[in-house]
Amino acid sequence: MSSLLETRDVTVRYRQDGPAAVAGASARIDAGEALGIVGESGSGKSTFAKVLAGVLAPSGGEVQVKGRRWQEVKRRDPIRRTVQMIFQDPYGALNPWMSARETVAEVFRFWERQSRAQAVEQAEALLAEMGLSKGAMARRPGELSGGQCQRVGIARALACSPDVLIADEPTSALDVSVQAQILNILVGLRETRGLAIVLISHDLAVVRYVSENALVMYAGQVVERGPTADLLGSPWHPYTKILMDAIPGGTGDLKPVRNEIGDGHPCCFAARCPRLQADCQSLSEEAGPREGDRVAHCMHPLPERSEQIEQRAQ
Amino acid sequence: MKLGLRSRGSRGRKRSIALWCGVGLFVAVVLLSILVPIFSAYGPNQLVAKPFQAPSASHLFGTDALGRDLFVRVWAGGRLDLAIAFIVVGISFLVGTLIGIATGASHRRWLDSLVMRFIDALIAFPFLVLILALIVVVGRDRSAWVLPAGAPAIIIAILLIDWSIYGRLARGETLSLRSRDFVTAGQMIGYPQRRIVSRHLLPGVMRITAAYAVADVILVIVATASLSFLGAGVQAPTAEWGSIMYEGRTVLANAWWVSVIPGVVLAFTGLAVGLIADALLNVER
Repeated sequence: MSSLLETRDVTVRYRQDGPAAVAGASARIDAGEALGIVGESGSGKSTFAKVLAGVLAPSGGEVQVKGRRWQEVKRRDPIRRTVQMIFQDPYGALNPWMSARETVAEVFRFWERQSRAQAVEQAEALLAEMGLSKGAMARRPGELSGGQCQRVGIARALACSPDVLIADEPTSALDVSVQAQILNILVGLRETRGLAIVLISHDLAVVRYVSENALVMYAGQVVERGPTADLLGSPWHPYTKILMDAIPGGTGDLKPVRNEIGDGHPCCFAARCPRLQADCQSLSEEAGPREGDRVAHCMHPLPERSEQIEQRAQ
Repeated sequence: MKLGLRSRGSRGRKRSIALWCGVGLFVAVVLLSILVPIFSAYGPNQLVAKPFQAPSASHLFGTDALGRDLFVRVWAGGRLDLAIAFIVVGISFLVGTLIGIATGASHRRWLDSLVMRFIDALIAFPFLVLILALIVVVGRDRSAWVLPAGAPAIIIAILLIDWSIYGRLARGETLSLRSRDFVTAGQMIGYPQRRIVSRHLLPGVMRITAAYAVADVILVIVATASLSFLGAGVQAPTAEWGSIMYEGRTVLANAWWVSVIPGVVLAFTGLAVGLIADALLNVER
C-alpha cells in the first residue's frame, strides 16, 4: 500500500509564543483506508485536519501528499485535488449565492475546462448520485436542509476526483435521522470509489462505524492509535478509557481539556491522569506499549495491558 | 405554528408595501425632476409673475423674491441634486467596494493597515468641515461639462470622503466572509485568489455596500443642500433645493412656501429612499 498522506511531528501554533494547538502529531493515511480521529473539544482534531487538508501550514514538522510536501504545492497544482474536505457546518460550507448545481458545476468548469452545459450535466449526475432531486439542485443553500447541503458539499468534493476525503464532524450539525444517511454515503464512497476517508469526530460510535483505524488526540498530541475495534474495545491509554466512559450512560466524568503542554511534564495528560506515577517523568517518544499498528503513549497503560506486557517480557 | 407563519407573512407583506411605496415616491420625484424643466412653459430662472405669490393654480408652488416660478425651480433643483447624488454615490460605491475588497482579501497586512489608517483618518475629521475645506481648495466657482458653478467642487469634495465609508464596509464584510468554510473549500479545490474574490466574495460584499448606497443617496442630497444653504455649494442663479431654501429663510413668516416646499420635497425624497433602503436591509437579514 502506498501512503497518500503522511505527517511527521506536526506542530501548529496560532501565535508564535502561544500554546501548541497540535504538538508533534504524526499520522499516515494509505489508499482506501478509513482513519478516525477522536478527542474532546479543544484537543486539536480540527486543526490537525486543516493541516492534513493543506489549508493550514504547520509551524513545525512535515506534511506530505503523495510524497510531495504540502507547503510546496501551488494553488493550481492538480495534486491539490487529491485531498478534499467536508465541513462541520453544512450551510457555511456552501456559497450562499450559488445554487447547488452551480456550486458543483463550477468545479468541473475550472478543472476539466468544460463548457457550461457539460459542467451542469455532470454536476446534475453527481448530485443525483448523492440523492438530490432536480428541484433541489436549483436551490441555494438557504433553501435546502442541512442534510441536502451536506450532500452538495460531498458532491463538490467528489467533483475534484479526490483520493482522500477529510470529513470534519460531518454529522454533528445534522438531525439524527440524516446522520446515518450521510455516514452511509461516506462508507459507500469508500467501497465504490476506493476513497480514503479521514473522519474527525467526538462521537465514538460514528468513528467505530466508518473507520477501521483510529487516533485519539488529547491537548494536541496523539496519545493512542490503532485498529478502531481494538482501541475502543480495550483502551490502553487512560485518556481513551475516560473518553469512552464519558459516553452518556457511562460512568466516567470527562473534564474539559486544559492545556498542559509546557508545564514541564513530559505527559500531556499528567494533570488529569488517575494512573500518574513518579516514573511518568521519564516518558519519551518511544515509551509505551506497541503491538503491530497499535501504539499508546503512556508509561502505565491500563492493567490488562501491563499484564500482557509482563507476560510477553517473561 | 400557524400564528408564527401568519405573522411572518404579514411582516413580509408590510415590508413589500413599504418597498413599493418608497419606489413609487422616488420614481415620481425622479420623473418630475426630469420632465418638469423640459415641458414647462418657462425656465427655472425666468421672471414670470410678481414676487412672493402664494401657491395657486397658475403657480402650484408660488413664486420667489424675483417672481420666478417655484414649481419649475424646485424640480430643476431636484434634477441637479439627484444628478450630483447619483454621480457621487455611483463612483464612491465602485471605488470604495473595490478598494475595500482588495485590502480585505489581500494577504499583505501592511497594505490593509495603510489603507485602513488612511480611511480612519478621513472618517475622524468632521464631515462638513472637511468638505468645506475641500470646496475651497477645488474652487467653488468652477463649472464643468453640464454641471453649473459650484457643483464640481461639491462632487469632488464629497467623493473624496464618501468612498471611505464603502471601503470600510467592504473590507469588514470581506474579512468576515473569507473566514467562512465555503472560501476554505474554494482554496482546497484550487481556485485562484482572483476567482475566489470575484465569484465568492464580491456578491456578498456588494449586497452590503449596495444597500448602503441606496441610503447614501439621501445623505448626499442633504449634504449638497446643506452646503448650498451655507453658501458654499451651487452658485446663484442655479436652482438647487438648499439654495432655494436659503433664499426663503428671511421671509419665512410672510412667504413660507419658498423655504417650506423644497424642504417638504427633500423630506419626501428622504422618506422614499429610507423605505427602499430599509426593505433592502431587511431582505439581507
